[in-house]
Amino acid sequence: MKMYLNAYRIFGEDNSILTPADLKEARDKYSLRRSDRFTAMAVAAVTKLMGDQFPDKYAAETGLITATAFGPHRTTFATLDDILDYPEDLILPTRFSHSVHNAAASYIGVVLGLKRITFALAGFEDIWFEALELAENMMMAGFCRQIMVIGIEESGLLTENAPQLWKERFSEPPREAVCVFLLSKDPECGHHGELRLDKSEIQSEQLFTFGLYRQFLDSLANTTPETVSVLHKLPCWKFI
Amino acid sequence: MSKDCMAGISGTGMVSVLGNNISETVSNLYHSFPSLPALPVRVDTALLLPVFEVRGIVPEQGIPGGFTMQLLRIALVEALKEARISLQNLSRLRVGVCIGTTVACQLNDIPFYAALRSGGEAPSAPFRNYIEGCPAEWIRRKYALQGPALTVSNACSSGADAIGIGMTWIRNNVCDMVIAGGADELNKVPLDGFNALGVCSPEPCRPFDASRNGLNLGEAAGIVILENARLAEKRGAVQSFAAAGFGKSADAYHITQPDPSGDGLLRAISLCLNDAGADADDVNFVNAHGTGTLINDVVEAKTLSEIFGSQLKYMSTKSLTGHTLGAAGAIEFILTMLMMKEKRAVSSHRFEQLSEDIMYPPLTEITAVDGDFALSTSLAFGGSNSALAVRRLS
Repeated sequence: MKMYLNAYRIFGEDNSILTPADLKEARDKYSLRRSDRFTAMAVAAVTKLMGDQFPDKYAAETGLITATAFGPHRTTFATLDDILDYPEDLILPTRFSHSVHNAAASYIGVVLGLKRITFALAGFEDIWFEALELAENMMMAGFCRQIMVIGIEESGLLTENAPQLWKERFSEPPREAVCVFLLSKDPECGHHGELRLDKSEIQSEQLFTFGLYRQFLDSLANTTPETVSVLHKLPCWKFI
Repeated sequence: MSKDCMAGISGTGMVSVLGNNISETVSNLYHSFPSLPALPVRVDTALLLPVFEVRGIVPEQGIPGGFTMQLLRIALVEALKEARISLQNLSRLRVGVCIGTTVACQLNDIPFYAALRSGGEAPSAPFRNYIEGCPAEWIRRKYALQGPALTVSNACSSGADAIGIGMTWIRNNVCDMVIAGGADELNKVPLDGFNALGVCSPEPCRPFDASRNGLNLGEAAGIVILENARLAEKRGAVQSFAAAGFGKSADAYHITQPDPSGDGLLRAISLCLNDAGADADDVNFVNAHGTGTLINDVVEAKTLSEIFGSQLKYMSTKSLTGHTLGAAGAIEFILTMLMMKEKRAVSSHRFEQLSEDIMYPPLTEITAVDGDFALSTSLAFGGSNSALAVRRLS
């Protein structure tokens, strides 16, 4: 089975960035007042890609995969703040319920009306590549015709301190980024051509969050429906 | 489906309050007076909430992560042994790993965080443990495996989803063999969190009962080894059952509450039956999610009644194990398989009285079941619904 890239957006330090105004707009527009920043980042990125309306005919056939390493760790730590600062039975339920890894996927599902397979994945080695492979497998298995894959990494106290906590592994703090790929098994949806996954590694001096690298990003910038883009399997961050 | 693409089960391992291995689990599964939940010993809490805590485990040194990883190790070793797998076998195959968890995905070490937020020097060990203790990646490193390694954190359906993904890897010939399952420990953060949500019972839980008032948390790990029959036969491993179908849906309704219509669960079960090439009449019994909370149980019972009608045989094993979060879907899939193997379905313990909002009662006594096909269902935070099918192999 071939996999086609319908649409994509990458937000991060080296590309366009999600501003606080973007997050506020997403919160206000989609009634996310209780959501945390991690979820707002994901929803803002997805809706900037898809606009307000995700056609029903697509929603009915679209699965969803989120991939992250550190997850909504700011919210986890906010829950720990509650535990440390208040009596044990006074922690805020909304903080806890938003600290689970699949909260962002749940909100995106509600906003876009996605009702097919939904997986929240976590990992530190090559989670973005694995998420794309899983998307390909789920379409091959017939669970959906289209899948949105979203990588989300949020900066915070934990990531900022990563180099101090494990300097051999983290040469610098992991960068904040959101990456959204809408993938399809239908060639007519391949507005950016075919996407092939290649497990062999290549040399790249510029490696970004999620294991994306300069040559691949440059190739994405010039895609047509006839293009074949190849993504090699690289570690999620250059610190590994 | 040909034998070459059927995800047969050649090994299982399980640890929970029911026992530290499959043999103990089977013995206690049918015990007339199973263990009751009690106040936790290992978790530092002032909450008076009974839990199903695994005791008597001696932690093995050198394993990263918390108690979740110790539970995972026990289930993993047992499953590999039953499947007659040696390290040499693994290095020659495309072996994938897919593990569901919730606690192991979060760095919720309270002393570590207290030091970090104070601006002092936080100890590095919890941080390293957290990263090295990502369950699927740890197993892949431990056995130098070459296949995919995914840790699924879909809240309470994580373990079921991990087995469903593993099943598709075998069917799609992505892997020769898959180590799949789930693991989660009792931990202060989810205990306090579920208490804050108001869904914990101060008493032993009573799934589907009129007087049900919440869940009891538990801890467990469950692992299955999935592979096609030809490969298992080469090693002399016996496959009596297969992961035969997987259905997955999202409610797109609310972050913590299930869609009251039950539409999401209905779609997950329908997709699972379709995936397995079966229909509702083939289903011998359903091991339901059955948390003992007001809303979950009524939505689930309503949906099961709509699909299976008055012939429905169902139970919740959470009254025996507690709600083991990321492990729940995996251990309940294994318990479903064990009940088929024993040809006896357990009752929903502590169910006494049918409530007005539930149409048919769960099983109230150990019941003979001799069919070849059964389901296990899981519902999760975020409206994530899963159904897994077990089929007896001839």
